[in-house]
Amino acid sequence: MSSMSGRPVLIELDKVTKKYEQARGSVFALRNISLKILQGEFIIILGPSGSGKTTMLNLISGMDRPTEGDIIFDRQSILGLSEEKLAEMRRKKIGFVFQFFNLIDNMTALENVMVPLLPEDLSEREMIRKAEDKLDLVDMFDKRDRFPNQLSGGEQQRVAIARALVNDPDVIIADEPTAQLDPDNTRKVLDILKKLNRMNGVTVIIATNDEELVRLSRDVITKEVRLKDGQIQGLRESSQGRSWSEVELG
Amino acid sequence: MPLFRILAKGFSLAIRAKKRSGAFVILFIVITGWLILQLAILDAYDTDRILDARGVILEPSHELNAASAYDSINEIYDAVKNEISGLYIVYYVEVYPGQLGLITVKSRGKGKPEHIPWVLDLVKPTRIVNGRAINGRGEGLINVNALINYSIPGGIQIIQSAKLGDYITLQQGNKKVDIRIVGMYNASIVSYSKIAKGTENLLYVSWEDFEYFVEDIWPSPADNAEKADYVFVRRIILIAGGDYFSGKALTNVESIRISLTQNPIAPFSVTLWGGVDQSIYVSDWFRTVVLLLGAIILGGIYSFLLIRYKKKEIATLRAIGWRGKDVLIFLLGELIFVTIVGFIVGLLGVSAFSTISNLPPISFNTIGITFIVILAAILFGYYYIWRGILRISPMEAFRRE
Ligand SMILES: Nc1ncnc2c1ncn2[C@@H]1O[C@H](COP(=O)(O)OP(=O)(O)OP(=O)(O)O)[C@@H](O)[C@H]1O
Ligand SMILES: [Mg+2]
Repeated sequence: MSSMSGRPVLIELDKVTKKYEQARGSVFALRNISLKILQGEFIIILGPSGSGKTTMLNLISGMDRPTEGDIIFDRQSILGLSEEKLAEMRRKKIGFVFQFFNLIDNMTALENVMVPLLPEDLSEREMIRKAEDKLDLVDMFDKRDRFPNQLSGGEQQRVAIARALVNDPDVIIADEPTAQLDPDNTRKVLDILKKLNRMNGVTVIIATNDEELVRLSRDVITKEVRLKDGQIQGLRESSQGRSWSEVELG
Repeated sequence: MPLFRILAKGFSLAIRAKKRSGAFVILFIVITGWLILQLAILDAYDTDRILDARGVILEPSHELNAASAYDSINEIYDAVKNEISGLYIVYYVEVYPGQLGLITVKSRGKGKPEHIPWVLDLVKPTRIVNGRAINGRGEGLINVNALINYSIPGGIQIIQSAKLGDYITLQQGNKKVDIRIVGMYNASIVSYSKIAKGTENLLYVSWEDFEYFVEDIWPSPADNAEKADYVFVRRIILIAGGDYFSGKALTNVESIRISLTQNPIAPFSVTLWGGVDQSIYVSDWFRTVVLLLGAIILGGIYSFLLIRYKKKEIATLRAIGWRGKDVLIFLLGELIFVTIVGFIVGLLGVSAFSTISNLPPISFNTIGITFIVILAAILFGYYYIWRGILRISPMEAFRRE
């Protein structure tokens, strides 16, 4: 019996198809995808360029709408939600990590981490406290006053992870988070994501075309989704039988 | 509160993006400064340059008292009343023979109080070399280096100078008027000698103080200062009506001059007249409109560049859950900062410049209009920014640059 059974479903893709209409005909970025993501999972979506990884992340986070099928986030279909509601959902429930970090150039590390909090009704002090907490978590507290161009790629990505975490999201969505990093920084970033998953129960979804990430995450992966031409080619659920309580104890 | 914080964040980013904002701040300084100047030039057509633009000056051929001038002035008024927006009379009364005279400007028939400081070139605010114009009763202007020489019977003389802030008190019994010197004019200009006619010092006061002096303080006073035989009429100033834009003002000046030259009303004759060509005014006006639109378009250009430059940033903010309005306020913060700083520095620069050089004064209207233009630029930018935000999908955040 898998250790995952019994956990609530966080995200469900139900027969999702995404078709892009173009001048030269239509492109199926995703075809009839069904997938359940449970709370606390660590999922890697693997696939070559153009296989539909980013499209899948876009749909999950409500930045794009499927051509067919339904997406359920936290027991609620997101298809009927307004742009405002979707933004709120992303802000409160999802943390994003991007391939190119996407930090704001003229803001310090600390300010960058505070960005998702700015639209919230929080005191300045509370915002700083939360942001410093997360910077500490990714071991960037000492460099909190530096600007992105004064940080290495790996450091920038750690700041970006702190930003993704600052609202205490249910899930972290990372698109090629290590593609710009050297092996050393790749391991550091992955270790942080693994730690978050294991210690805090944060669901992690990583899209990549790098098999190495699978190897490095062996100990935590719960699902490995292989995409090709917009279809699921292979789905491996983890045989590493860790129990939920084990995870909580770290 | 959160929106205000986001706005402030926009401000601080504008300060940090020195190169981009710096370039645009300078552009806004130049364009608002220039616009302020241009608006001041338009303003001057009805203030500093009103005599050049639409004045006709009449002077009596001989010494003429108010009593005998009264009917002639009415006659002049009737002859030109359809062409003028105001008739102003310069009255003179001698306080101390050869030493001190009192002058004032009074309108008869229609006349605009706001024109009074400008219709007598001697005392107009831009000609004052020291101090300021009078604001009403109790204040006066006097010539620079005023020296009043009183000969007292017995051969003694008292020579009294008058400086800024000094009081000149005109008193008879228990009736008196105190005039504080608030400004000084240059006695070397031509109209000084024409109006003073040999009197050494001229004190310019409001009509109310002048009238009080003539009707209450003067020994054996007259009932009506405008008909007193010891008050003299030194000049009549006609301000032609009609707008400059259609050329009506110039036509009126011409018709006043021709009618009063061909059918003079004795003993007054036309000695000076102005008039501005429609085309000069139109080109001043046109330049102003171009600058005005330029400032607004500059707001649009800045916003357009901001959106292009910050595309990735906007997509990222939207991806991580900022609402459209949050992003809007954030970018508006930068735009507002750049335009307002440009406006303030432009205004300060031009004001400083206009006080040291002989530029037309900057009126409250000019500042108000320029500010509204800046608001319009922000509004125009707002439109661009909002459209830009709606066009940028949060999905762009995942893309390569
Ligand atoms: N906005 C779009 N318009 C048209 N086609 C699109 C659009 N976005 C994606 N596609 C197409 O959909 C397919 C899947 O793209 P997607 O970006 O999801 O791939 P990916 O797996 O993330 O690739 P990569 O590893 O290169 O990032 C591709 O064929 C792509 O060209
Ligand atoms: Mg991709």
